[in-house]
Amino acid sequence: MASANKTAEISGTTGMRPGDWAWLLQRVTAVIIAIIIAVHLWIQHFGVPITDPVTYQEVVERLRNPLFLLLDIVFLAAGLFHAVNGLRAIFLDFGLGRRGEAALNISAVIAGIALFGFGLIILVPFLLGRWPVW
Amino acid sequence: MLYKPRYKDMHADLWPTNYRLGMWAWLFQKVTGIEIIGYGIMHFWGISTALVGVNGQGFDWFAGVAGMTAMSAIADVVTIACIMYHTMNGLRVILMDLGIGVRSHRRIFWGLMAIAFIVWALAAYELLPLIIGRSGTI
Repeated sequence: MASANKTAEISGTTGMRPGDWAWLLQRVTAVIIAIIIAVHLWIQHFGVPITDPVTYQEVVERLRNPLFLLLDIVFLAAGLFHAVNGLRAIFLDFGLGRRGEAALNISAVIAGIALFGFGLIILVPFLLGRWPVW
Repeated sequence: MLYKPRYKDMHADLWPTNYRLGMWAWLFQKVTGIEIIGYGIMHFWGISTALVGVNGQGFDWFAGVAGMTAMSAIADVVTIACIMYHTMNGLRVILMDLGIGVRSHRRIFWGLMAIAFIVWALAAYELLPLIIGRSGTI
């Protein structure tokens, strides 16, 4: 009976455990990154003649646009989740035991949040509307 | 006579000559993922030079001098290969998770690899001017 209820719960997100969410979000972030990386490469690297080096002034001009700011923040969050969760999956494949997996999961969450904050530092002046002047 | 198993037989599942297509695809997904993380760290390290000096002097030095060497263009070409493999094989993984084309997963893999190769070849061709005739060091 209990197992029958479990089967019924498979549809939808009810009863999903953290590991199930990690699996789902790994797919969702993959799609987000694939789209953003194409935009990123096209606009920031191939949009201009490739032999011209990109300048600081061009980058600051681009980041004045809130849409690009949002794009970069989403890219940072999705990329970090995908990278940290991907590394976590590689470590899990080695078989760490229950305590090891718990330690790995906590480390992954801390590393993800810390690196997101670290990455956000450079964007704070733009978020506050006080971009560096040149 | 005591049977002494060879390493190859003890770990038959993990011996590379016993790998089939899906196992290689899985292994390369991990390898390319690690390469992309390595490139990302270098990329962020490079653009963080925006914090060096006033008015982005550090960034302009990095983008104009270090970022224009043959070495960094070669890193780009290698990384685009890894990104295209990782994206296309990841797409195959998502399709298999959704139950789409499970029976023809080999054909889907090679089809996606063809797309990945074409995109990589175009990008590599674009990047050629940054490699040919440039020195490898700063």
